[in-house]
Amino acid sequence: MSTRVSAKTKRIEVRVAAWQKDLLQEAATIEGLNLSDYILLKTIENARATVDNHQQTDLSLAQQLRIADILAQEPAKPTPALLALQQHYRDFQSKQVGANG
Amino acid sequence: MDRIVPLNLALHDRKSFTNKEESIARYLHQQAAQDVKRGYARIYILAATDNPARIAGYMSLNAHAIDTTTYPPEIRKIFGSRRIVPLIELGRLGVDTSCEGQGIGKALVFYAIQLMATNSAGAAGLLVKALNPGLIGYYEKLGFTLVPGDQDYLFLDRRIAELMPGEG
Repeated sequence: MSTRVSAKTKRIEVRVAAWQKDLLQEAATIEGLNLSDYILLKTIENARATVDNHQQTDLSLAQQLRIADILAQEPAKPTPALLALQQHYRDFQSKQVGANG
Repeated sequence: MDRIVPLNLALHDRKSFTNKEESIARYLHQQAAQDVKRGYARIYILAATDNPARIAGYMSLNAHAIDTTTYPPEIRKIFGSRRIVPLIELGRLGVDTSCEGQGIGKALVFYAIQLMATNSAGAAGLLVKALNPGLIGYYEKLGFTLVPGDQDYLFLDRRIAELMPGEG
């Protein structure tokens, strides 16, 4: 991480919860970096991946938490439409398909 | 008998596939082969009955995951000790312009649900990008939940699929 800092640098300040700082510190220690270097390295890596993957799937944290919430609930029963789709699929097995007309 | 088969680059004629949505056809023409070769996605084909090379409809599936490492503890505990929660994403799905109205798209959607539920690597659910607003109502009726964001997604919990008779 000791690449020479180019002429101009800027400062970013971020407030974090205590548990978040502990987690970051623990991870930095595992990787043998100080906290600032670790955060910079990881956020830059992450930002690059985000930019690279922009065309690909990118679930925001809020969306991931929404999915987590669904998985924490009891599952709903299959809807009538889903059961109808299952039947459609079964019937479909014997159907001819091809160009119309 | 499986009518829906993995894309065979030597057999299936990708060039002749057309779709109103240009990106759906373009993906098959330009990117599908590379994704298959790299293993980044699996493409499934439903061929015309009278011509096994002719693609009547296709869909792409890829692995996805949510990473819970950075979540607050109260969320993480939902997942127990598992940090990465695997999902399957239905990336693209399209029916050839000449083959519309035959129930091909619906059959592909069900096949995607079935593959997700029986996926040998395990998956907690199926993700679909809500590319147009008309799709949201359709998938919600099937039991998907809207996951709103800059890009809306729909999500089907694997356990719902397993509750269908004969699929569990």
